[in-house]
Amino acid sequence: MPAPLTTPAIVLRSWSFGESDKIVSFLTESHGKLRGIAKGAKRSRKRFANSLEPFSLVNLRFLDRTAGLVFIQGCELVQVFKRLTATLDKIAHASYFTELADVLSNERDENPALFAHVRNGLAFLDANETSEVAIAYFELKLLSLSGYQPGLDHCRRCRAGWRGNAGRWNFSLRDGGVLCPGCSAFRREVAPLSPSALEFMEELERANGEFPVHLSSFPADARREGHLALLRFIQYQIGKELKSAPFLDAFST
Amino acid sequence: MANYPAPLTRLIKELSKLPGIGEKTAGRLAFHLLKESAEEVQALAESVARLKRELGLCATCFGLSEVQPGNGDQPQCGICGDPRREREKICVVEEPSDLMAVEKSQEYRGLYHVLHGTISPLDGVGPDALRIKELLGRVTVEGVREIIVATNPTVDGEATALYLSKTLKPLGITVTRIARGLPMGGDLEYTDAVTLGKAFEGRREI
Ligand SMILES: [Zn+2]
Ligand SMILES: [Zn+2]
Repeated sequence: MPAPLTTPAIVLRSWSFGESDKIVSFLTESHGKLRGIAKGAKRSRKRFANSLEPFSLVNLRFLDRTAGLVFIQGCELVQVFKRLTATLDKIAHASYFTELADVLSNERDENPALFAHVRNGLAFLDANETSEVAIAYFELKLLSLSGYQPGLDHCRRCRAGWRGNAGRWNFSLRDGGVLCPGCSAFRREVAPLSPSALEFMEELERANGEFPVHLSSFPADARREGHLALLRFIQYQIGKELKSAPFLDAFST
Repeated sequence: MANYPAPLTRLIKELSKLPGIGEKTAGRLAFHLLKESAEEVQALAESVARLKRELGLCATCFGLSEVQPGNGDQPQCGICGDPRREREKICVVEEPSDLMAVEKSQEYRGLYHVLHGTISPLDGVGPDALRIKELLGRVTVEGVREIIVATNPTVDGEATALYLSKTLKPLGITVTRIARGLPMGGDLEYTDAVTLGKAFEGRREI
């Protein structure tokens, strides 16, 4: 019998399984993404009280049984981000952050920096007003932590910088970053980026560690453009649409 | 399973589609049935077949309802048809099994509406996938004064409650949520009748 392991974790999803069990997907600090079975979770309040719902920060104790599902022995609530379920707007944002964490993390792949970023993201949403700055910063840093950092300061092909280089710059999904007007000619997978969106994204990249709330001084159009370019890029990388993305628009206030 | 006679293989295949039943358990059940009398097996088969034939969804509340044979009208459940129920209150639940759990608590004497699911951003389920339009239709014609949202205490249950409140309040309806004494992530179906009764008493406006 292997010894139980413990790790801080964030609940990403949970599903009912059979009469009384739940399958839960976690982002853990020390084992990447894990899926486990919580036996009796639908009936027993004691072992899993309140701790298996999405967005919860927990201390997970589990038995690793080779590949596949781990066996969840216990799950202790460390912090419940209460305000994340207080409004539709917050639920939509927290769901989007959680789905991003899910699709951009790997199973059993230790990535404590990515875990910390997701935890900070949920804590920030819990304590602050929602905004496109927070969304775009969360997206960009998560991309970088999962190895998909887009190139934003120079043209991905000819290395020209966009500052002082007038014309229509674009974001290319295939090249994973911005392309100058010359290099993006005749390409259909690109989408234009305004100069102020380019500057916004560069500032986002520079911000490291804290959510850059001061960037809300950027025009609303630029912030939205930046977020949409990153969303498109994420969906391109994972090869599917994010289920929670439409709710950001529908439920935002 | 490869060497079993075809009728046995077929039954095992059907049984193993049931929740929580693997192929091994399905095999055990099939062999058990094989030993039963013909009458017993017939009774089981009969009641399985009648389930779908005689049970439908109530055309008003979408709870389970017995379909009257030979009745061309739309099915109406016993609760919607009961003149003693308080008609100005509608309790909104996720599934028919939740309706039964609330009934068991004997705390509530109003009407119901079953959504058949919840809003879920993580699963991509929006309001249009649920029986919300039908609820709005009832509210405007039936003289309803209070909607009691009894969705489960989960993220999706909360999202659904908040959406209903946002949509119904402008119509002048009081929207209440059953008390938060229920554990987060819990399930109405598995909540004991006393706790559920208290949650109804302690409901508050959202
Ligand atoms: Zn170029
Ligand atoms: Zn009915």
